[in-house]
Amino acid sequence: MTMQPVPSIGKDTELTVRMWLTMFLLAVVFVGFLGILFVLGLNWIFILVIAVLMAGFQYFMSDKLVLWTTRAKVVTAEQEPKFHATVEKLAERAGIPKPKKLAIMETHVPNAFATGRNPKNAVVAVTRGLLDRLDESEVEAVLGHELAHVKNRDVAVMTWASLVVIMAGYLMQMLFWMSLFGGFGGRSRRSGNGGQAAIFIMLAMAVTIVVYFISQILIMALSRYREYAADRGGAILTGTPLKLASALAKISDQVYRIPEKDLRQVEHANAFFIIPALKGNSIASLFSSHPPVEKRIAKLEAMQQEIQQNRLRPRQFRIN
Amino acid sequence: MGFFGNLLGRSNKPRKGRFLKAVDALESLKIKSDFRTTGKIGIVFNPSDEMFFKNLGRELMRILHDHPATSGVRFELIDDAYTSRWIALEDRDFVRLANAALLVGNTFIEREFRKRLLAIAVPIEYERQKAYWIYSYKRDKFHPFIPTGEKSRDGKAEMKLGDVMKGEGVSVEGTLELWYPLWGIPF
Repeated sequence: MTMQPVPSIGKDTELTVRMWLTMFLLAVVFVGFLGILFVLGLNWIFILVIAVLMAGFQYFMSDKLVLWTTRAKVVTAEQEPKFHATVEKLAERAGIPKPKKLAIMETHVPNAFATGRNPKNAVVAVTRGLLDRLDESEVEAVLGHELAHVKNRDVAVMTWASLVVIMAGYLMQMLFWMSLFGGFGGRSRRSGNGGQAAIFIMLAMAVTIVVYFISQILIMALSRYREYAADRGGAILTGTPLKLASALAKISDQVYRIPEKDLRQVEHANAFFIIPALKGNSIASLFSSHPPVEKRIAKLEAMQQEIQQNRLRPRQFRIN
Repeated sequence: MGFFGNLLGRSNKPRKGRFLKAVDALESLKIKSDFRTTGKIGIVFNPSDEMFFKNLGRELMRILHDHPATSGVRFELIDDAYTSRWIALEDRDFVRLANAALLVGNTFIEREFRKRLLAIAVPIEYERQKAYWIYSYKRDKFHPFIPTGEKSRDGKAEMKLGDVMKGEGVSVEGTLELWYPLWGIPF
């Protein structure tokens, strides 16, 4: 028997509205972009097909691509019984099948991710540092967050939401090469007015760049909303928003980036495996795919309040 | 800097500038804040079967003695639990000590054993706490290390110390993930 949280309880209406509004705006940009391409006489179907193929590749290969790029190793239930048992329990509670693959990255920096095109093909990965440095209930809270991503099908949502960005990105490249090699197929050569063709390319380029940046900003906003939603969904799943809050505080704490493995060991193993830290810049928050940790923690603390005032009753879905 | 430059004579020798800059920084920190050096500096390396390592004791005796800037510096060879070996240098004069560490390191480099050099550990006392400045040969950068137990360290205090070092112009390793500890430093 699976028990599922009643969706109407404690729903964050504002978040839902923002999310749908962002997706609507993305759709508007997408359609508008196609319209402009059509008016400019560009082969918009060709560009759309290319973009769909690229997005489709990301969509279907997400699990393999991410495992490959992060060097996360898939672990069996025999190797990591606790990890498997917790995910299984949470997946059942969330009403989704247990993710196909669970993986561990051998780094001391605490972190986790989920990917895969649907719940059945999902991959949930954690770092060794997460298992070592967070306590059991914090690990569970993090896994709850990741399973909420899986349940919300965020890979699908984000991949297809990125379609317009992929299109614009591809077109930018195409226009760049065109401008180098002089013109759009027959158009410029036929009329022999190179100046007009150059203006045409510049116009198309300008539109594409504007579309690229607007859609990028919208996608980053959408991504942040999906993070809030996963925080919320995960906290409802485990019933412990404060544990997710403390886990987030630990994950974002710079001090956990400092290793415990000895220099001599590292040099002997000859493995200098590092994940370079991204340095923040002035427009980082606008383009950031994750909301600031302080805001997430504040929201989770507010959720705890709701639970205490019985407006949220996740406890009833707990198994233990 | 001129003094150190003359000592080694070869301006194009790598891995000199940053270490000496850190020595200068420590000297100035000793004057203006709660810093103390301890009269010891160690170099840790991975030994091999080659003659150079078999005769290292005698060799060190000779090179340290031959140089006026380092004569009188005592040393000890210590094997550790990681199959690495330490050259623990000792002298009351910190600058003499730093010269000796650099000279020993450069001897390794001259004999093409640069890859065997791991780090230089400079023990200090910082706010009444035992701390180290670790110089990584591979990265040519420093990072702080404050052990609090057999295999535990005070990361918060290290980050603070790292800021102090940066403030003095020391090349501090920017990637925190590379602030590797050296557990059980024998001095």
